[in-house]
Amino acid sequence: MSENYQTVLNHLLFHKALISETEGGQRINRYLAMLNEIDQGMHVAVRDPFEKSVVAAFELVLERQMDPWEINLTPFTKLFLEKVKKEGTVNFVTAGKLVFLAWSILKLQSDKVLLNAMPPEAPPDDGAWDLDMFRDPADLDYNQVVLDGTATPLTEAIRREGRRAVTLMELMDAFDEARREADLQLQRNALREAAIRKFAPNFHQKVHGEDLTEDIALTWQRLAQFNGEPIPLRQLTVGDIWDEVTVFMSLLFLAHLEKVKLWQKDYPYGEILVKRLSMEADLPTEELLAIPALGPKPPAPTPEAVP
Amino acid sequence: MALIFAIQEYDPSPFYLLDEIDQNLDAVNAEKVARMIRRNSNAAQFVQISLRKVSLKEADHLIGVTMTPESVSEVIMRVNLADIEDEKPEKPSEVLTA
Repeated sequence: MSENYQTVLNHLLFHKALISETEGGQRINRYLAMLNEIDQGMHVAVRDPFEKSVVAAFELVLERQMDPWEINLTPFTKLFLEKVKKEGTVNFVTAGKLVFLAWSILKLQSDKVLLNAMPPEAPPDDGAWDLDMFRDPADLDYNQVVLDGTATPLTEAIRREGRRAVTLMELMDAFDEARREADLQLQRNALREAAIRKFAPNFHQKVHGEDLTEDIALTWQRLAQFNGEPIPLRQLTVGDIWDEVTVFMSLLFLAHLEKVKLWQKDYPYGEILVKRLSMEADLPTEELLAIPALGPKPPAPTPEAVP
Repeated sequence: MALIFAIQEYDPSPFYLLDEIDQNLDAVNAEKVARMIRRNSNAAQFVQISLRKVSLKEADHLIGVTMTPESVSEVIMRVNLADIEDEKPEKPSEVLTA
């Protein structure tokens, strides 16, 4: 049993003593079991990515002999990411949570610094002379204080505390929060998929079902099977409405590109004939790229995204 | 669009000309609008300019318009979708494509 193991064990037991059994005793018991297995050199076999993160954090603390009461997040985050990368999969939720935790602590420290920098509140003025306020020599004669060489009457410079230490238990809390968020996200995804299946069963097919370039290429392939003689439009379709509309739309663009000639024998609904004017097997990509995109436009890049 | 349709529901017109109202809609909403127009075509006539297949599919008649090299728009074909067996229309509505 290593000394560091004992320190980490004491740390966990201390936190276990602080909380009630119903709130987190089981969680810390699980951590204790993991810690014990790691210390005995056993491989902790877990499949849950969050449990893996917890195991990796414990291993790191033991290997690097970190103080569980004072873990510097900057090197820890770096070492943790190196470790999980070696494992093959990176849990970005947990990694992001660590960064968030580091940021939170930094912000708390900044708030504290700002609070310290605020001038003290003046005592309420009741109108009477208060000679006691001059009992400090510095308040009466600044030069004399400097000459005496006692305390320098200068305001202490505001500096950010460079350390960002957290306890091991705070880290574990961050992992646990990450797990809860991920569970919620998985539930949301499952509900979303269930709703799509219920209310719009062919949603994905619909979203990706309108690609003019693809439609035109398909129609051109069908046209290429004929040797350039005028053919009735109905020979290019397979009979259902969707296919009819697809071919109809594609032929309009092909006519605009002067790849085909279209005419109708009798209005309003006479036979429509199609004649291929170009003998190319495939349409040039640059011509297909000029075809307008359908559906909503993709969002414009945000100013932050522009280098 | 919902507001305009709501106003029209309150004070209907006998004839509507819609110009690419579904151009920037995603496929699901474009289909919803197309179905609504289809349903409302029982009470009014709709002529709609559209490039969306989901809208064309709901129409009774298609009128194909394209631009010639001389920059002149030309009607080059008319298709009666009502002739296609698997879709029988109740009332006529027309869709122009350009």
